[in-house]
Amino acid sequence: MSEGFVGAGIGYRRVHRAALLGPEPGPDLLEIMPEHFYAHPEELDALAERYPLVFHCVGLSIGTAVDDLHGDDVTRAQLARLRPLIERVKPLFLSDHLAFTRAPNGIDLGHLCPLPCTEESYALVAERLHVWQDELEVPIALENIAHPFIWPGDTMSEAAFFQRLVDETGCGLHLDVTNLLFDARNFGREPEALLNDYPLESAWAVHLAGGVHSARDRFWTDTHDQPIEEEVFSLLRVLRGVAPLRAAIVERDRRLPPLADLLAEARRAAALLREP
Amino acid sequence: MNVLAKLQDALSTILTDGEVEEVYRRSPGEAIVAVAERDARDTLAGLEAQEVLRYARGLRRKRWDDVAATVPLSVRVIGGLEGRYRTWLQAHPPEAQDTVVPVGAAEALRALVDLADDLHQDPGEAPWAAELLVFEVLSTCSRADGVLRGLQAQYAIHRIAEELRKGLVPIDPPLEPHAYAFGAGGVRMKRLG
Repeated sequence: MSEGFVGAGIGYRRVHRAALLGPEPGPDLLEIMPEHFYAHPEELDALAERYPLVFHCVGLSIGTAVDDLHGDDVTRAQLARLRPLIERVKPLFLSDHLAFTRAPNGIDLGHLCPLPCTEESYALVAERLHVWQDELEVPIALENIAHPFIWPGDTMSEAAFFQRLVDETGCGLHLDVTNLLFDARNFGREPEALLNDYPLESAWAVHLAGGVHSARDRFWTDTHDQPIEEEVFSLLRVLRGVAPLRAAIVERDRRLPPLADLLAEARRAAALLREP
Repeated sequence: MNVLAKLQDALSTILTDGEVEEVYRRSPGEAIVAVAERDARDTLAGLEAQEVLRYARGLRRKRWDDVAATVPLSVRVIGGLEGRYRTWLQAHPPEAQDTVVPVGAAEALRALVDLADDLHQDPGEAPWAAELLVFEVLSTCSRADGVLRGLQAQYAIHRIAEELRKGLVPIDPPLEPHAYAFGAGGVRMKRLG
């Protein structure tokens, strides 16, 4: 899908709206969570006039194992809201996670849960991606999550799962470098080797965020409330010249620093990716 | 029903149902037999129980963080709000719902009647605490989805909220019944009596 690197992006948060629409230079691109605009889509217009947008969803729950190829009832309702929003502001692409957030029995986990990497999961996700691509008419990328656990009995690695998906559906990889780093630390892999397992030639964007280590659990969690670690920036160098990236996007949900600090992180990442 | 669906149903029950989680903590195998169909059990039994329990804890923490962000004033003055919510959550596994309301507000709305009742009945809490919670939740929800919602309060909650935003905690505010109407454009109010 690449038509060139757009640059440094940040996740849009309402608290920054006035500054983003003010006279100071903003990011090169904004990442929007469309769920925040379903009730008031007109609030997107001013942002779309000024910035290229990408949509990032957290609740489409592509892996919920219901028979309906669109997804469960909540997904169907969200797809119906997404379509007009996409037509309205024409995002470069839309992404969500390779995960499920709701179970077929109607329980809402409220967060991303990994899918077993099996043929059954693969068939479900690939078929659903085709349906969504046809319905939404927008390029779709899936993101690697930070795994809270690894399913036993996987028949392929997640990287191989992604490789098949990008090959067979044309979807992109929205590579969360922080999630990958924390997976490597939590489950005993070498970060750069793990990164190289993924189909980097199909990575459309990178996410960068901060996280914390719990001494009690001996576990890293992507809390999105800390500055980005140096090792995340270091891993970006692996992507240079390999991944057809459109954007490097900083995710920060809590303990928001001044906008200038977020922009500085995003610009540093973009500059690293632009280096020859 | 396919194996993936069975795995998701069983795991989500372990992760969100307080009683099942307690059994799982003591004896993972016993909980798995209780909630999973036969062909999903081996896979679930292969999960690290400590990792599943840590994840369940994380899900609850995220849920509370989302709720707390919706009701910052209530969090400031209702000391045990987090504990009350967590106790409530253990008995009310979250259900999928289609809404345009932000996740934290939707979850606060789901728990609102029970939490407000609980606060009303607690003589240790400020007598206006429950009304403040309702005020914060309904105003956020109605701003987001445009649905009109109402509150008949015994206190001038808008004024109490204003004080709290300034960092002041009102001491014994007078009874001043008000009717509040919440909508997309904000809150309208009328003094009663």
